[in-house]
Amino acid sequence: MEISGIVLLLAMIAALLISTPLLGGYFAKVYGGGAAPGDRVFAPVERVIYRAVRVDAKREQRWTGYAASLLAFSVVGVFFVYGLQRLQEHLPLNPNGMKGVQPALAWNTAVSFVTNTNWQNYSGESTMSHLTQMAGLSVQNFVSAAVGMSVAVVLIRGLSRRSASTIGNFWVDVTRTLTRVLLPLAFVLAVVLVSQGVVQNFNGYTEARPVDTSVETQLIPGGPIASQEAIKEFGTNGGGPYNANASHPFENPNGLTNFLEIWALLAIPFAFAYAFGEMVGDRKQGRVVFGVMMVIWLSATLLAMGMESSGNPKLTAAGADQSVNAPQGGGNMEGKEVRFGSAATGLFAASTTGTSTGSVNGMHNSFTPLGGGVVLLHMMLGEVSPGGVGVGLNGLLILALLSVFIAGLMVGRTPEFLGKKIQAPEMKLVVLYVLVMPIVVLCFAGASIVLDSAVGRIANPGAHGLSEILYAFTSAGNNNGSAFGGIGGNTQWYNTTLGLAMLTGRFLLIIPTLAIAGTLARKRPVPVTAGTFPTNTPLFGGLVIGVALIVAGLTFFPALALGPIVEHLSI
Amino acid sequence: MLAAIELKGLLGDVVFVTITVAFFALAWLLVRLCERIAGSGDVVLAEHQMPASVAPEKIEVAS
Repeated sequence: MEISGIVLLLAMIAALLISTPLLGGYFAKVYGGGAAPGDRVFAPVERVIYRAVRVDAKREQRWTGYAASLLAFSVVGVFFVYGLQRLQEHLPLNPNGMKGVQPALAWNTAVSFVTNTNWQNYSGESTMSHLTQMAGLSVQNFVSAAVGMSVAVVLIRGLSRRSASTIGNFWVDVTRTLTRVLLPLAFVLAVVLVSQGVVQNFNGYTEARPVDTSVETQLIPGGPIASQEAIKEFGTNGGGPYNANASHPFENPNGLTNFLEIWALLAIPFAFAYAFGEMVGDRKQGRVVFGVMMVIWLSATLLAMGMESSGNPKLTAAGADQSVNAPQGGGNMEGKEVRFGSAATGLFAASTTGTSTGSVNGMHNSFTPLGGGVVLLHMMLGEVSPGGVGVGLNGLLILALLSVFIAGLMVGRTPEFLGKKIQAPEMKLVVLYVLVMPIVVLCFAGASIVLDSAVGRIANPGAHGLSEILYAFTSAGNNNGSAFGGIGGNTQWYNTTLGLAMLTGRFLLIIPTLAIAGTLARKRPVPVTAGTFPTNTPLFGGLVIGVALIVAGLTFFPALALGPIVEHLSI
Repeated sequence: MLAAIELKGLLGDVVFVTITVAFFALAWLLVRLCERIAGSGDVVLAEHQMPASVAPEKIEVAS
């Protein structure tokens, strides 16, 4: 691996170690009750919002009421974004005269953005009007992220409250997340991105005469890019205004923006681990959660960077120079931007697949087989390293509950987590949570493999083609949204099944999570005794990592063996 | 021709609105199922504090 890649990774770890306690401490104050920084500024704004939407901020909800509010809010979001796309040719801010989007694609896109997936079966610059991008997609980038973060806060409350029937107010949690976290962070990053050359305007296409004289004119798309780019990363959304996503120079022009965008997609999920420790009053437990996230992310990152830096052995055999030297970064440069290089693209890929972001700065389809396999496996772990905003912490805490139950069985102790007894109802809900994603991913991928019309839309035969289909449904089912590429997803089949995978991977996981929070909140904590299995130790962290790998391995290894592993063995 | 295209689009709208409604109805059924799994249990009002900006005198419980 080139030195610049190692320096970049070390700088990223340093940035995360600095930002995690700062942001995490702030989150703990925002969500934990009591005074929070910025109350004098934000509280009056929030009161106006509560009054406007007729929300009584003093009323808390049971978990079922919270779930009902969340589902109602989301279904309205789907219909709004769907309608906006269908009617965009009749609406303002459409300088390029974009036509209304076809129903299947419009539905897929609406579902994609409401579920925080941002899978894109379209090219933003040639499909969506500025109004659709701003009022539909960018708004969902904010609110879908806020929904995920609210659910995480609810689970933390479930673990920290005692004998409580309520878990918070959905509308208050979403509003505070938007006003106090996402909007300020996204605003600052958008300004920085603009300063680095990211586009931010309301222009349509600009006609330019390129240096290449064989082409007479070139159409350069404009639009409100920086504002969407900022929340796209902070909200772990990933849907870019341009088809090339963060490899497009108008979205990600240089090394500094590349660094900031990777940090932005990791910052909030890691900070939530710290906030968790603060809010449950056990910083050691928070550090264990952070450590688990960091170990898995770092392992995947080192593997992806290493695989891509080592290059393609077939090209080496054919005499191509893939070494690191003065004029070239080296490694497997197919599908990568020269200004970033193979290692930085590996870092971006591992980070985006670990955070359910889906933003990309290179073509994952062009990764080496094992490099592509690593990012695929990273998603299959359930997006817990560090996962999407909020939902990553949820996934990891669910795995922690599973781990504590398994550990309890192994050593004959009553499973307890943070003083709450883990009993049959919680375990049934945990199992429901763990099973939903693999079922939806494997069933839809399997169905696509036997359908001629679906197989006909992949660009490559054999093992790589299987990886393309598997990646698409893994990305959708985990609400990641990154595309491997090589699959023509804009068909009735893929638009519908990928949409259903996204809906299932989002809401059918959130519901058991809220239910677990509800049951835990009702429990009274039991005192710590000599028989209590400690969960705030590195040993428990190792156990959680083991459980995550075993669950994903047992579920997905056969599919991985037929895809990336066979492909690697065949070169 | 144009009318046929518009009719096809309208049919698509109906199909996808139906799928959306059906999914969220299914999600609500899952809420009821999870409620049954979780059970009602003993319920005691929370003693925690709301955020300062919205601090209540007393927490009321909405359904």
